[in-house]
Amino acid sequence: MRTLPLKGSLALMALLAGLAASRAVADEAVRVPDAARIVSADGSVTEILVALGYEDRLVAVDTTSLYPPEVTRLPKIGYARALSAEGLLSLHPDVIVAGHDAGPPEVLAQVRASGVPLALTPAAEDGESLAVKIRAVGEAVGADAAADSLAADVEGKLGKIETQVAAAGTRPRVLFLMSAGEGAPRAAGAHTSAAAMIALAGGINAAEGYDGYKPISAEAAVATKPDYIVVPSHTAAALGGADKLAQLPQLALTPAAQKGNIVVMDTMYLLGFGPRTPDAVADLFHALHPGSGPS
Amino acid sequence: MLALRNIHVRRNGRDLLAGVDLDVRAGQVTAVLGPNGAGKSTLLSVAAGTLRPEGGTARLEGRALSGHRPLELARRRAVLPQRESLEFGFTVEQVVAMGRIAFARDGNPALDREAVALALEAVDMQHLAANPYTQLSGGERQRAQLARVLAQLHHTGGPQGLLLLDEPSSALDLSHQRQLVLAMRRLAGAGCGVLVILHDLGLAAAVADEVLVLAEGRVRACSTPEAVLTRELVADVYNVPALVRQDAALGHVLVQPVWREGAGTGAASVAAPTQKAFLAAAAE
Amino acid sequence: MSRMALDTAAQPLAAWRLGRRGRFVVLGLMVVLAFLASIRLGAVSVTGADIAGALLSPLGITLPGADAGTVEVLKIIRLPRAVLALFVGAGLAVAGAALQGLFRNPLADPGLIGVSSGSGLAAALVIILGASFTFLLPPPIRPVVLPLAAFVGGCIATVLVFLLGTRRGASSVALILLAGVAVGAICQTGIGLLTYISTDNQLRTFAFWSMGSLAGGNWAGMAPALFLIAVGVAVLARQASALNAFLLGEAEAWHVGIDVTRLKHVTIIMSALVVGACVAVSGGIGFVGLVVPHLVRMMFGPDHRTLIPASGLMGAALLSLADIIARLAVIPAELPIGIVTTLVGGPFFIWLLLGQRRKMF
Repeated sequence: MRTLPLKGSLALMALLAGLAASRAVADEAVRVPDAARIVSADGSVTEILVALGYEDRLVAVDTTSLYPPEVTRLPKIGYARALSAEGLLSLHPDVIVAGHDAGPPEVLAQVRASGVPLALTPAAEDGESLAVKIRAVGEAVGADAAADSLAADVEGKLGKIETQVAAAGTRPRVLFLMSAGEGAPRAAGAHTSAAAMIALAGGINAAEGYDGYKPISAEAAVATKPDYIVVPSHTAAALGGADKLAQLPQLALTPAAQKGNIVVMDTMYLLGFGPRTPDAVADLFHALHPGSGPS
Repeated sequence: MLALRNIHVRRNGRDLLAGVDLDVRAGQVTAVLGPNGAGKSTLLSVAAGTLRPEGGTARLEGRALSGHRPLELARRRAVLPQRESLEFGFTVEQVVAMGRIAFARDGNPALDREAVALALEAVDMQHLAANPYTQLSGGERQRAQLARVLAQLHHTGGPQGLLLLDEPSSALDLSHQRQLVLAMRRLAGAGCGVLVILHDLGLAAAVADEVLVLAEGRVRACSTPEAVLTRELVADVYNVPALVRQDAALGHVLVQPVWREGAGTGAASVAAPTQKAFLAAAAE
Repeated sequence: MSRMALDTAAQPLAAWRLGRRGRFVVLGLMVVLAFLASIRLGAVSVTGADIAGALLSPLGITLPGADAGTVEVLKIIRLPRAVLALFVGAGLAVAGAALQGLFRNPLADPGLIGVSSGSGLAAALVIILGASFTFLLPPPIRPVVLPLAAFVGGCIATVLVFLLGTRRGASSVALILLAGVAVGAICQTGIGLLTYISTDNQLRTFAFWSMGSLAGGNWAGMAPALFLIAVGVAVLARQASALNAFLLGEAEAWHVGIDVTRLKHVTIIMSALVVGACVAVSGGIGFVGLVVPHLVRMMFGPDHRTLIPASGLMGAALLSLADIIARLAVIPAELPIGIVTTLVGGPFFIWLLLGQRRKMF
């Protein structure tokens, strides 16, 4: 008797696994030209759609869609990784365009099963993948030509900065802090949007050696010897300005803080990987290379 | 009915029971007496089957206690605990009905209802049947628990089985103590075996057919109340002087501890008027 | 004093005369109404014809008045979700009622036997480290790794608590309680460690998972969980009389004929299976297992023969209502259901504690 429930649960696990096999989801290219009602479930997708001239067709966006400011007035479908199937369907969209990390998977499956086209676009982590993402968004709404020219434009601008970076010669060490002030500051390690931006703008990510955004101690912050500290605007605002940041005891001893080399940039502008990214890279490049002058 | 032979129980290197023999016979009330820590409650746990002794045999109706399943045991014996700890607001009636759980499979709800009603009547609590148990006084709780075990012993032909009680009178007033004594005698009269732990020697003398005195885990004496309850034994076991006297009018021995300092120490020192007054009062 | 006297059953005689059956009819109606509201209400507006259409479509009947798209929404999203709410609500409430009986503590909660924290740790493992091991698993299992892991994690934690709380074949309720606290703390530490190495996205995914959601309900995926919940609830309901006696005390329960060892094993294992299955399909939903049995005790008294089935019905009804709130509050997005249950359950719990304090002082 004592072992029965355990045996039973093992049998049920097998049953669970068997049933799971029946619900594989097929991924096929989604293409809805002339879509009049578009829902965007990704901040960068929203920016791309707006850049492609589809702003008027957007009926709702997710909580990471903050640019341009007009889209924040649209109905919110919640956080991109915790979507609501019915909420999406109630908007009667012709197509839903989402980022690679949209979810949960069950909800995506429900949406697809109810017949609403759902396009998942690839992740953009550098210039190349950004162009791919722009073209994917364009394909989903049938704006291939416009997407092509936007992608080419983005690639062109990024190529220009690449030349400038090569010409600049110096490669300053940059520490990107996602948060600071409350406890240990969280610095961007490898495989982060911030690290990608630093590389594009001709800097060296000072906090290499780990993945993601992690808290680092005051000593470790000093040891990274950053020439510049870059913070997103929300972090600087929370502290009351870049000056206050430089005075934080955890950072005061870094070369960047002592020279006052604190760069503040808008969060989505800097990390969003959308059509504005070439401009953001250019801004960051100039901030990190003061002698290079405006192009 | 219940036969314990050479029972040994050890805990933390200490002998709680060392070679105890005990028989509870059908139709008899056996009282267990002894000072604090003598092993009385341990003995009751062994008798109830809750505690398996390290040595010795415990048999109920000829079969080892450990060979009975809880359900079978519950149909043959009931146990009234010293303390209860029910903190959920059942009604008194629901608490008493819990004594019938072992009989649920018999599918005789009429008998169950009869058992509960008779038990409530026996402890004088019919009027409190629907009251929440948690709002009862200590004495009322004790009576409700007594009703529960009485209900458990109820069978078609009247009460049957073995009843074990651990200090059932501790919170009862005089009238309900008497009710308890009458209930025990009535059960014995109907053929039940009763084993009861008591502190009140007088109560034990009045209710018991047999008295077992435990001290430090050993049987100090075991016989009729008249044979066991002597002033020597009380002085020896409890280190308390007492007056002991057979009383023809009451039909059992009277045991009166001497409460006041200096009074009653040694037979010669007992003042005649004191003893006379005491006996007169007792005879009323 | 580890136990708390909760005098929730000051049942007036008149209420008893109302009859067990009558009160169950009222509860049953609540469940039916909540279920209907759960089908009727949501971001997509539906008509009665749509509902009838959805209910008739498995029989091959197409109702002319029903909108085909809406019928699909009902069949694919809303009906499974409404059914899931009933089962998870009932499962959590019944497991809570049974465990409160077993621990003889009206403030006990399924979290006490480690099942919630074990599930949480397993879920965190899959969400944060899943990418590095899911490819090793056979393909059919991959889509259900998270619920499966949550279920298995909950069961493992419970077995661990159980083994720690058992000595020489005898389980001590007090030891199990302590072991549950210890295992829970260890699991929390594990979750903290995983949180440290997680990316922001993983962290948010886990945060949403631990706040619970019924959004993932689909027939095939939830069938095993529903089966498990139904079996567990049925088995727990059979322990009702024994749990009543257990409230008298462990020895007393044994004296009236209860095999207390078996009772403890069955109650803990079945509660763990039920809660594990609930957590697997819905994530962390707090306060249902704690508060619903309380509500029922206040209305019906502490008798488990009533408490367990009534808790099941009330849990089903209340979780359905909570889910309706979760999906209506911020259309077209939705709230995690755990937020709704905690928002309602938390203050209620404080109110209970205040009532308790009044009685004590």
